[in-house]
Amino acid sequence: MKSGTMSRRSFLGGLSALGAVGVSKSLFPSWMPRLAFRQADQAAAGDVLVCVFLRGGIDGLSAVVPYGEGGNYYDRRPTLAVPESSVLDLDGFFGFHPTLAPLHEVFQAGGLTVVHATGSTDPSRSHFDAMQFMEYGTPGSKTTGTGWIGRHLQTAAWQNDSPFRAVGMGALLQSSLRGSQSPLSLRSIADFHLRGREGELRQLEQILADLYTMQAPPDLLGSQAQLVFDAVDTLQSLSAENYVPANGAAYPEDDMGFGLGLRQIAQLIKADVGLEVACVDLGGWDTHENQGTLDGYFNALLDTLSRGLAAFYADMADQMSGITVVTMSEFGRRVEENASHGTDHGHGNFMLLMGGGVHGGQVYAQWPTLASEALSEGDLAITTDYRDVLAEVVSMRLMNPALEQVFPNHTVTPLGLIVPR
Amino acid sequence: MNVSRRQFLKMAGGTGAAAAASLVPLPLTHWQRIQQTALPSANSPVLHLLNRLTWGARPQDVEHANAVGYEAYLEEQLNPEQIDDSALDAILETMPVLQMDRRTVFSLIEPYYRSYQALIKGMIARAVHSERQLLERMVEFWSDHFNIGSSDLSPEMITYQRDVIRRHAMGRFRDMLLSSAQSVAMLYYLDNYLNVAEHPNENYARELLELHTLGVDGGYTETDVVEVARAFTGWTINDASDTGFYFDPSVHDTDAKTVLGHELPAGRGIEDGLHVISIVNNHPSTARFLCFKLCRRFVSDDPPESLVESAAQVWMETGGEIRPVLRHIFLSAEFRGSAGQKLRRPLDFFIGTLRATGTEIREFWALDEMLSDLAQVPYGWQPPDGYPDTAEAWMNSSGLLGRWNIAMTLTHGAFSDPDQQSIMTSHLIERVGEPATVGELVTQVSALVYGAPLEDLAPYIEFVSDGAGSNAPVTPHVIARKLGSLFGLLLAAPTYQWR
Repeated sequence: MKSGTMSRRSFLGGLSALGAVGVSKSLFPSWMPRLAFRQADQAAAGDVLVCVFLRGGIDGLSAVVPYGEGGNYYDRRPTLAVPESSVLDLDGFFGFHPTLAPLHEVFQAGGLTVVHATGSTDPSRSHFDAMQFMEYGTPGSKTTGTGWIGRHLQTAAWQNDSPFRAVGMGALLQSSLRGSQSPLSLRSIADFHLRGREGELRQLEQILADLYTMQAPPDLLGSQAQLVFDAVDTLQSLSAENYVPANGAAYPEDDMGFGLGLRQIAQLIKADVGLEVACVDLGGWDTHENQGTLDGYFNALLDTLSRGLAAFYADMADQMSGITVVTMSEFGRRVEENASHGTDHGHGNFMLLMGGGVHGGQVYAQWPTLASEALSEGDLAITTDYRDVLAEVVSMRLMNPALEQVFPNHTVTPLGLIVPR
Repeated sequence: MNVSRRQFLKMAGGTGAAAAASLVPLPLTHWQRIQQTALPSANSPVLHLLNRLTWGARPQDVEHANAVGYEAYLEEQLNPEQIDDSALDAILETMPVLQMDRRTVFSLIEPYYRSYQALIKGMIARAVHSERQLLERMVEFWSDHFNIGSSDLSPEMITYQRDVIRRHAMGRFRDMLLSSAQSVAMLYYLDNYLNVAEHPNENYARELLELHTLGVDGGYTETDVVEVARAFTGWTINDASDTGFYFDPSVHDTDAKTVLGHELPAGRGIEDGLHVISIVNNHPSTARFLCFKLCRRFVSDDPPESLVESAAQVWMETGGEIRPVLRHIFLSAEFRGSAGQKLRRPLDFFIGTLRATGTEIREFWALDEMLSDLAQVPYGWQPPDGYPDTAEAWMNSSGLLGRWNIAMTLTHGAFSDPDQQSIMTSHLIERVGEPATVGELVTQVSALVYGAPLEDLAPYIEFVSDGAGSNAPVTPHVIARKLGSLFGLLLAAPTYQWR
């Protein structure tokens, strides 16, 4: 709906005539001692984690289709079920929606594993509560205040003083990153610089740095300013517009920034700037009406997801042995479709694990079945706690054994999805 | 200076070490200690009131409010229909789309883009220029509360914003609730137009309970969600009707229902939905939830329980009249003690900047892009819960950098770059008059930005005078080279981010 008559670049281009100079870190006082440090010769101790949150509640029964359920599935989804003849078979019982073909290739190559009937065990069907529970890593508790990734970063045996240690793609930081470490929020590498009149810019930067040092108390505002100054130089040197993905990988250019986010994560990993964890979102899955099956709204969104993850996998082929990608969504959708050719809020859902360290090519599910008596208030039950999936990644790929702090009050059940690093 | 830096490092180190050792969650009160002393409003109740109920306190606002007094100014703002707003009315005459009915909007060429543009321009013009500032603040509050975020619905949003949100913004909650339930925009946005007896669509029912009335912890069950959905079956759209709302008895579920313990007898039609509106409107959880949100918006991110409780009591006593509740909040001791505790959201920051500098953005696409850069395009939040209200949601590195860049863009570009002047113009020079010294100039500009002069102006004086000090004369060179940056720095400063 927005006018495309004037390009955004032309506007910003006009402004950058005023100058866009990198901020030199040396201009600024070292504001606060970092909590810890990474020794110069110490490599990152674990995989890079890429956490993809599918906001709105993706319809897992249309994405990873339990076609082997027969009537339990097809009878409840008279207009939405994915026909057995269309699915891309995974294991003789489950099959991918055909639009996931690019990921099916990764699955067959052993780089992808699927978990089904998983999720956050709290029964809430509220988007906002369910997202918070899942991102905090504490289903049912609203007062945790920190995210599971934030706690992982706090408790990891090594520390890393890079401003890029944890990056949230998008305008608002993901709750999973909350914690005492300050994650960097990043929308566009190309735009991450201070604008102002050339010749005066350094002076303005110095004054801003002083103002935020002297006036801002030791709160998040001051630490965010520090992050900005720390990150600007590095990002300037990356020249985002010239980035060429490897192996012909083509990221989707969706208007939600999912493709851009993954592409920028790839660029940061290759630039070796100390990235350990990146979060990126793809929203819009709240398909209460006319979601469509093989074409239509849901299919288009699934295509963005599929092409984005596959492009990342191709682009990062040389680095994938040290990367784990995980997807999740706050809940699944009701088994029975509603009268508006959509699906209401449900419970159990699927997760994807992609990377060099997963036992790929399998669907892991303690499948509860879709028989009426097996449903949870009409929805797919949860038989695998999503924390068990993440705990395996945290302990075996991120090399952090402090699971009782990352997922407090949860006893971890081993699932065997992960190859130890 | 040295002392404060040493203290700063010491405190920072202490905080960090404690957090690393014991996993203390970030306390919410963390945000409440911030900046309370540095802001001019800390010592001026009137300025504090203006900071919260306006979109930016201009010196003339401060002067007027000081002249009539705190309570009289509040009463004025609580009665917007008695405030002359002819300057704004003249601007709105250039935006005829805002006054059109549904059919006329759709008869336009490019109805989606025309209405999208009118909505954004109208929202910004009203916030910047209206004298009825509290009304505009309440329109913002209700637009978040009854959020509809979908560019596909722009033509319907013209009616929704005018006839649902604005009409009832200072009236009775029940009227807005019912009006929203029957608005085409809401019927589309939360899918109730498709809600029929066979396989009800629960989307509206759930958000009605969770977001519009009781709140997620307000004491309803999953069964209540289903029962409410059944009650609203048949509330749909017929474009042939004037409002677009239509009750279709043929798809209504006529069986008996139970909602929050109330029996809805079998055999009824539209009365089921109306009955549910009354049940949720009168529910004590609704009073509490709405008052919590009002206090969070106008007082602090973690508002005092005592104030939420007493405001909810006023709400219950008056049957959900908005004005007495607002009066109660703004006159409370809890409010008076909360200066500096709210972070300006990106839109607060942006509109405050426009009010302080007098910048006019001529090209719509430039306005749209700046709002996108700040991540708060009006009516652009897609989930139904509305843009976040708390500091922790907004304050991050990309948000902070975005503010700095908008501050510099609006002040430098408009002021000193000829290439930018077709896009925007500002009135910085007219605003400052003819101060003799740099000290006077900086004092005056800080008052334009903050509503009253800042106490610590040393870094700004140093910058503008090139180190010559506050007695240095204001030369044409100073005006030409420094004035835009001075405004920009004052707006980019940490103190300006709080109100």
